[in-house]
Amino acid sequence: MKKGKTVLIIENEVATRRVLKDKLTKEGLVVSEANNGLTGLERAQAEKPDLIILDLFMPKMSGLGVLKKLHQDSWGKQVPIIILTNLNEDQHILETIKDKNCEYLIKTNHNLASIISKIKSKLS
Amino acid sequence: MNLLTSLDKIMLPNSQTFLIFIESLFVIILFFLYIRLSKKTQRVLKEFKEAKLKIEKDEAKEEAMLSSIGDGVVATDKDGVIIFFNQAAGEMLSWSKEMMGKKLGAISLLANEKGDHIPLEKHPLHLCLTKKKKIITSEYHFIRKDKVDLAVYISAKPIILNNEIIGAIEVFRDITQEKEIDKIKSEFVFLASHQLRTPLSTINWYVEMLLSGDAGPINDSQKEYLQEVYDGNHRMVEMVNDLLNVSRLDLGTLAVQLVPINFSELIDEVEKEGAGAIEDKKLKIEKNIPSTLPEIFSDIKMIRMLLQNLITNAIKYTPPNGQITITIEPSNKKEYRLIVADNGYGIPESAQKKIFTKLFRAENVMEKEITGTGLGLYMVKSIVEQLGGKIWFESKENVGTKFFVSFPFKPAVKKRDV
Repeated sequence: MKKGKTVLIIENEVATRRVLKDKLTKEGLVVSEANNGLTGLERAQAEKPDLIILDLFMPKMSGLGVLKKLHQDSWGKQVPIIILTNLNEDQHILETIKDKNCEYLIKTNHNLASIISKIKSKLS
Repeated sequence: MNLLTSLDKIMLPNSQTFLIFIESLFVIILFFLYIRLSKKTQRVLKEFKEAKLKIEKDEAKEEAMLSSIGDGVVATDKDGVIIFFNQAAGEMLSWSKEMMGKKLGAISLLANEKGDHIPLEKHPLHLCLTKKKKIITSEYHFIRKDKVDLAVYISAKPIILNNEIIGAIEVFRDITQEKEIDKIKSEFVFLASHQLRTPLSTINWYVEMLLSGDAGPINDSQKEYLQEVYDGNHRMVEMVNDLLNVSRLDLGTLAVQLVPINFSELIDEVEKEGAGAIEDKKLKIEKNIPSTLPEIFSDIKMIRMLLQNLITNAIKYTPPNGQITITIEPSNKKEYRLIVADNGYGIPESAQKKIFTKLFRAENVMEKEITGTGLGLYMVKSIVEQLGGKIWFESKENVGTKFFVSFPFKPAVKKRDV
């Protein structure tokens, strides 16, 4: 994996955002952050990162809202997205993420090492 | 002669007196008899009136009692023709008195929990009359004329008089409110689980950063302490996950997706998750999975949960150097069978009846301080039932346990919305 790839973390929990940013930066990635869905969407469209880490349960715009909006243009359709949430995928979530370029991870069920390895494989 | 004449003279007036006396006596006796009979008649009449009143009172009492029963009660004759229904049944099913004399099966539409129509021959009342035994249903739904769907539990029992079935009685309980409470409870658990997971994932990742040295070097003793925090947190994560899964299984809101499953690969993945414990305890794992086993159409999340619980239990409850055998075999053309066997601590006989109960844990493993939530086997049973299969086991304390699960090749599961 080339160094300097960009990752946007859209996550409202400050502690979660910080630890993810620290770990990703240590792995040589360039990280930008957004603390709600709306800011995240705007930043994604402006910065066009190589990968997006997306929470679902967020103020202003939910993660699913961001996902739907991103899918309205060709860049948003192909950018790899890792949904990182503590919500279980229910029928509604499954239908929304179906056929989209994203992976669904439950935060408590993955350690940072496994998240990093998923990010790396998506960026390579 | 003189004497006779004189006697006659004497007797005549006397015999008349005697006759009058007899007659009077007869009249008196008749009078007394009349009085007596009349009293008796009056008493009988009084008793009759009292009995009538009592019967009327009893009938009114019975009717009041039947009317006061909150559950619906419908009685039919042996042909299933309605001969009585109480107020609650009338209100629940929106019936008028005109329903009396009609066949129950013809006017009540029933569906099961999944919304599938129940044919007439499988109606509880019909079954209890034909099978001559009490029938208790799981959640059923009456579909009323006005399309209102009423969730109920039904029990039907034949009425037997002199060894002959003369009819049947059906009792049903409206469970709408219970279902609503269950829903609120499960939604609460669902949100609470999300909120509980958030700090747990934070602890998990920060401790991981410290343990991996990403936040600077730590000494061995600090590492040990942090490892304890990490492990404790991991147990908490498992507990929250179990609670969440139980609530989703109870509510039937697990998003069911049927996909072809390669059991051999899935078992390998689950085994890998337990690799640490298998290695620590030097357990021997044997797998008998035929290479010809086709992919089986089922819900992968549920099957994974089932395998995780059965295999993790076998690992947890088998002492070092023990053996675990995982077998999959077709049991007939329509079913296949999964067997997870171990030579571990076993389930004590006294605990065997309760082993699938929510939060139950057997004493022998609690004494050994093996951690667990008591939710695993409850979940397994619930999954097996939702996928249309069966589960049973054989176990002997300190000898081992063998869990058998049989599944249909294509389980009939209806997709439900959350």
